[in-house]
Amino acid sequence: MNKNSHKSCKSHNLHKSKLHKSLFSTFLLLTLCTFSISAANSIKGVVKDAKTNEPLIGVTIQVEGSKSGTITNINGGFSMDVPTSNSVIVVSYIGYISQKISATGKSDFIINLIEDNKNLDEVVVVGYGTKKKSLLTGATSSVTAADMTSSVLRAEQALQGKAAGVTVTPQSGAPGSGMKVKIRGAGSNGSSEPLYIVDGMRTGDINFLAPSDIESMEVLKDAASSAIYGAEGANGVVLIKTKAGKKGQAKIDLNVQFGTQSISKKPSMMNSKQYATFMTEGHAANFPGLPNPTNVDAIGTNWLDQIAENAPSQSHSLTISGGSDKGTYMVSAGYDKQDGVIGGSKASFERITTRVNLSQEVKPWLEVGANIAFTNSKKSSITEDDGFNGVINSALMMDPTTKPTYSPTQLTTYMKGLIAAGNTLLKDANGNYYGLSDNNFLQGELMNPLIRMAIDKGIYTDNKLLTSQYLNLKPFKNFVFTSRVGLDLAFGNYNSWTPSYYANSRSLNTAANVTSNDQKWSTWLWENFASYNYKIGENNITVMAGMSAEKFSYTNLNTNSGKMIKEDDLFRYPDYVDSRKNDIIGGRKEVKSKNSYFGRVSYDYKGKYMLEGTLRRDGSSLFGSKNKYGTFPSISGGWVASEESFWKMEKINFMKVRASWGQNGSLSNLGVDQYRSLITTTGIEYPNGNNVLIPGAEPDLLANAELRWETSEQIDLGLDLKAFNSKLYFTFDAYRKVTKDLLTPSTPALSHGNDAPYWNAGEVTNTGLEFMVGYQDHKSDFTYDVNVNLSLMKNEVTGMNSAVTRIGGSSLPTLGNLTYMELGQPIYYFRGYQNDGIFKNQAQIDAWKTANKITDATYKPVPGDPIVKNNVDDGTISDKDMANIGSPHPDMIIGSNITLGYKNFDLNIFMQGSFGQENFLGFARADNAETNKLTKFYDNRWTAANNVASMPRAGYNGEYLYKSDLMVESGSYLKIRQIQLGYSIPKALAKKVLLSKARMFVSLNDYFTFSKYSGLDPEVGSQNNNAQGIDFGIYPVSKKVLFGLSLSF
Amino acid sequence: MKKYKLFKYLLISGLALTATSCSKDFLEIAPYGKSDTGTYYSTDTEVTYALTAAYDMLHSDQLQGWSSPFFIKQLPGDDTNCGGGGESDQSQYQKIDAFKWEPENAGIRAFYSINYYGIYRCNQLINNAKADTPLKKRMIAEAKFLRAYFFFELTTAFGDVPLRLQAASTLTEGIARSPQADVYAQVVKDLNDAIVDLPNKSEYATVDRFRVSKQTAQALLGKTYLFAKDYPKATIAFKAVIDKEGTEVALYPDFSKITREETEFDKESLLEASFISENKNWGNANWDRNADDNRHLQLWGPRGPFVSGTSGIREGWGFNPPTKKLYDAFDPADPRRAATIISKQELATNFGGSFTDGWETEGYIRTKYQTYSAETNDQNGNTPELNFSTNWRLIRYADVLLMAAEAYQKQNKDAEARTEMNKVRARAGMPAITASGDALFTAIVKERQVELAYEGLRFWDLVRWGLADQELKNLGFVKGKHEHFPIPLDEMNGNSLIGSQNPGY
Repeated sequence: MNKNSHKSCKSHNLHKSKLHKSLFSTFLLLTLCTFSISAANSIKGVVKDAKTNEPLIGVTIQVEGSKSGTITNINGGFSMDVPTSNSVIVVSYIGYISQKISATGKSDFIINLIEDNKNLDEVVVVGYGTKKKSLLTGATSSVTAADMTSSVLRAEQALQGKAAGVTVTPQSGAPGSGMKVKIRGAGSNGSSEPLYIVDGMRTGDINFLAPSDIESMEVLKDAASSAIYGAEGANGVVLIKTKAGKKGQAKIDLNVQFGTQSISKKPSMMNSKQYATFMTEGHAANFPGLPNPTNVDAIGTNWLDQIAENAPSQSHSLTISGGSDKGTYMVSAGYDKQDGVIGGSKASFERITTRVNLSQEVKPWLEVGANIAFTNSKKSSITEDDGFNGVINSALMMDPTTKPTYSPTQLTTYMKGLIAAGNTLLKDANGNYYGLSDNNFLQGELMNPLIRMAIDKGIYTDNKLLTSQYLNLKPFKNFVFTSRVGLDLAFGNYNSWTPSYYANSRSLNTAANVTSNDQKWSTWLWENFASYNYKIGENNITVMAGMSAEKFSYTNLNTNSGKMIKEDDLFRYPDYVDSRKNDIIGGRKEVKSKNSYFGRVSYDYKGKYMLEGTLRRDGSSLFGSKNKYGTFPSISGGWVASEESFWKMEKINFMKVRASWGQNGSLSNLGVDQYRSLITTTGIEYPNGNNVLIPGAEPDLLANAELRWETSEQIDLGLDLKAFNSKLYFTFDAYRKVTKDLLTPSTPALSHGNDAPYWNAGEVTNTGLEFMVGYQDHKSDFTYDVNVNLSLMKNEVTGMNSAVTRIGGSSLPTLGNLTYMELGQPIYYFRGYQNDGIFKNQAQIDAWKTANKITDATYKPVPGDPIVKNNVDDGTISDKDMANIGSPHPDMIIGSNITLGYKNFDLNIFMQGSFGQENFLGFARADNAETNKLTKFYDNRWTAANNVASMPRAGYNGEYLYKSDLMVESGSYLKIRQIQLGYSIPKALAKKVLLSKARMFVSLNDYFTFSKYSGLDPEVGSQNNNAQGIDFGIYPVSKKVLFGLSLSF
Repeated sequence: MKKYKLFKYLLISGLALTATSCSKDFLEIAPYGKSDTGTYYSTDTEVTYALTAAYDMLHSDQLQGWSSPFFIKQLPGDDTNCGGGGESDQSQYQKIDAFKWEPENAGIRAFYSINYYGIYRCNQLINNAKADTPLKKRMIAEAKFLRAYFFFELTTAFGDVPLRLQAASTLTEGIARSPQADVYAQVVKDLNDAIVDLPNKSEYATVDRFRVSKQTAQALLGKTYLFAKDYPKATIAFKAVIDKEGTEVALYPDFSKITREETEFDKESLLEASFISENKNWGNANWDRNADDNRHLQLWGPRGPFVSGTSGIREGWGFNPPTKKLYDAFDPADPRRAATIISKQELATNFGGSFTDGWETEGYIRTKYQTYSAETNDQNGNTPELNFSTNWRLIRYADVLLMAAEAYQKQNKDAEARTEMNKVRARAGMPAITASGDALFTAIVKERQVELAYEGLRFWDLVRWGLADQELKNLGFVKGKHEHFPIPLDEMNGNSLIGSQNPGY
């Protein structure tokens, strides 16, 4: 009885319930009784918030083991009698960690309570509703506004290292670049991005969200939590709630932040002396342009130094919120600007975010509200993640004997000759010419990276509007009907132009042209659902049911025109060209629709036994009549063992075990018109006898009437535990997630003779263990909260259509596919040659050939060539000998957060690490022997003098090197993501200047990286789902020093 | 209770509205910009468009990356090396050149695919269009020719191949390989059908000269019989073409121009893959089958360091460099040599240019099918690398004459053989051949080597003559294996009825 009454006092959401009322009156009655019976020792005191020092009102003070107690008054004060002098009092308050204090020998108490960030009674957002955290039966992770450290620039970043089982990899470190978020591994062979739901409205990405507007992010990880999103929940769901005003608290929050960013690591490339030596060794002596090692400058140009710079960043937000007892409002505006550490303002991101969140109780039975966000962003970008044209790629491989620039009076003979021949050599702002590899020695796409940067002119602007308007009808008690209409409109423009330039004989442009591409996405979503809560005795049942309809459309218009009237940024639009003859225009429209029915029944008995079932049925226009609809069920249960009367482990004050099973779908990798056979005329033209193109009409795709959903089925077992008065908190989950009927490009027999549609083939299994453990406490003015989350994960392709051995993913320049999806392997692992050393001499080659029964006379390796592991005994070395040489998937990810507070100071240290994944050194060009290379190619190379080597001879450029595990390195890393020191001015002082809070901080973000990886950054992501881990010269995540100020009025 | 009623109405209307919006039609989205296959192929325009898409496969050199059938056919031969930047540059091509071709080879896969893409398009047209207008009748004949051409290419390269004449009804439907004789029979049938309805070459208006004519079909028919070693029937078919010499077909007087733009679709040219300069630059160029320029010409240009001098040749990416063997095969007095291949000394002496040897070059520069500045353009912001418009000559009258000579010779009709062969030599400015018997055959072999270099014919000529082992052994050719490409892995896996792989793979 005591326990129950105590709990119900804490609970907010039950405050209207009869149960609560009756318990509360019983409790009061009991309290009064206690008072009347005993009148031994009298104690008094005051209870305050440990952090803010504010008095806490309504805190329960009870004598341990008895029923007597009281609550604090408006000043936080209390007084009561305790039976004996050595009594222990229990101080508890909702949202705070309970404390036990000995009342021995003391009568006047000052009690500081610590806020409980991991409160089980808090209400969390779930799909189409909210739920008490203690009643959750699924596996979810929460990231709250408090976790979203003030220096985070992107919403997804807040998930990195904070939620167990969630892998966040930046697609690039360039400002404004997106991040790949994977919940419980790559569950698909295409995109594994979770579904994002912002205030009930689904949206494609969360680029547009200002982190300061976010109240909470709930990551729904298991099938039971996300099954209510059916066809789109297979990769997990991230539910985001933006901030709302609070009743009776008008508040103004201002955040200002400035920072500077720099590059954290530069790979060790050969210097000019080493380069010249290497090239001379590798080439025939009379090769034109061959640099002479005795003449070159010892060091030469470090091209990364040339392109890297310290770049500023700033971020500001103003939020005004509040509310009356009938309604709340929140109005915010934000501005962020960030330059790139490579490219500076040419790789910058600028964003303006605005938001209005409103809610109003119109009638006691009607509430209306709206969340409206508009974001404008502009991203200038340099070419990256590109094995051919990337700026960083060029910086890594450009020959170091070339100088960055040459003054017009000191040009090389070669450059003079080019200018005399009428070529456009580009100059920097000071009028100096960018250097060209002498005598065209290094040529092709690789060039002086400063020229690459100068010709990169791409700007992407995006305007996005996301609105959701809702009404809640509450006609009778415990019943809510919600109707919600959302709009997601995004308008993007990509504008770029190519100036005329000459970089080498194979990379040049003679006339400037402009590209301007417009894209428009528009989605409306209308959802109606009702929920009813019903109680019989201790049985609590909530039923929710609803339906949803959604329509998505996309249009684009792409143009390319030339030649530009003037090569100038102000002339970068198609109107400013000298002719209409060269115009190229393209555009199309795509429409998708979906409608759904869904329901959920949740049951609990005394908050002790929980059972929940959900069902969703989705219909999509992407499928033919055979499989238009899919059904997705889930079931989950929980048992709060610590609520049992037989629970004796007092130290463990809460323990819940959970289990869930469910199915989810995914169709994010599916385009329109995959199930039917159509005729298209797009792009099909053939030149006629007069050399004029005439249109053709080709069969679009083979039809696949059988096309259906990709289904992921997941089992999750979990445990939540709190001990030592909730100071210690622990969560464990084990899962097995099997994604079946993967939507993959089909591989019918080639003799079918046409492009293949998607089909359902293949299965991926992700299994993992997730742990989260933390401890929070205080010692007088010192508060601390330390937590660690750790996830172990394994990814494997467990099913493939028998018609295909492996599906190719991403390619290396001129070397063909590197990543593959194949049975028994991690998805899109690296497939290449396994290296077995370097041939020392001819004798070794002969012996090796004999030992490996090589009969192929054309296979003639020479000393210094790589030894390829002969995996298939077929008398030769061929494609067949290739094997798994690495996987971009981590085996373990960890995150750790340490928050310390002392008086007005706070310190946050946040670490994140990822282990077991491999990166492929993709910044190498097998087809271009003249490119610069990592110093390990030089230091460890085979030479006649040093024939015990780990890298091949200088002249070796074959795929047994460039498509082998010699190019694979561990990508494991540990990063200290943040060390932030903050100071809040004392309350009293703040009040004098009308402030309720003023905090300033200094922060080192992404500052320390521990990794053995040779490249710029071990975090090798990519926009491309099947190119994860291939490093084409990754744009590194910058390290940042930030200063910030937060003021609240 | 009033409140309750109000709510009830609101709820019901809300749900009703949702339900309405989710009626069946809501999930039926009509496709934008695409037509229904079921009703297509009915009007003249539709059939014209569909046929154009079949012709499109003749020039789809970028269907699956760099994957030109015209280049792939040349690579195993001895007139060319692969070249390029190094042994890993476009490894699918490198491996075909080096006889390291495996069922996984992307180039071989593309070669197979492109021909079946063509066949699918032809099948759809032939099976769905009705010959109810003169135009449609002719178009069906054109489609039958194209289908025959694609099957001929397939069976030459792969031997027994699936004879797919109907679209498959499901993605997993398999089809067995048909014996080469059956494939030849189908090719002959299609060609005989086409010959009836196709016009003579001269009957086409200028704009339609890219289309196949009666003479094209007769030429391929002869070639098919020749490959099937049915020499009498080959002779009949070739004779039908040769009988039209002067009116429909002829040799162009100047050999050095036969692969240049100015002779496109002339009387010597019976079938071409057509390319065009299309105002492309690095920003707007397609890298798929929608590319309409001849990008392989750029791929084939001499790789730098290269100085053009007055040769008119632009620097390229170094593929398809000529071999010394080819240079040496020419009679030094043969004017065709300079029009096919020059040494780097000749480049320096005759044009003031220079060339540095690179990967797999042997000191020679190709002059036939070359990156001539005149065949591309850099006007209006065009990137010259991406605007070559030179057409591939797929069937040339000179080839017909030499094949006819071979067919006659095989029937011991040496005089007739010499007559046809000497026409080709006379055009080249070379004296007539007087040899007979085996010596005549050897002369024909030699004549084909020099006259038809870089036209993708040499390798399968050597194979059918049984000379491949002798000529190509040192390049990696293995007798009993490399006579055919392997069936691509994706076909072996995806076709449940495919049966066994070619021997040796």
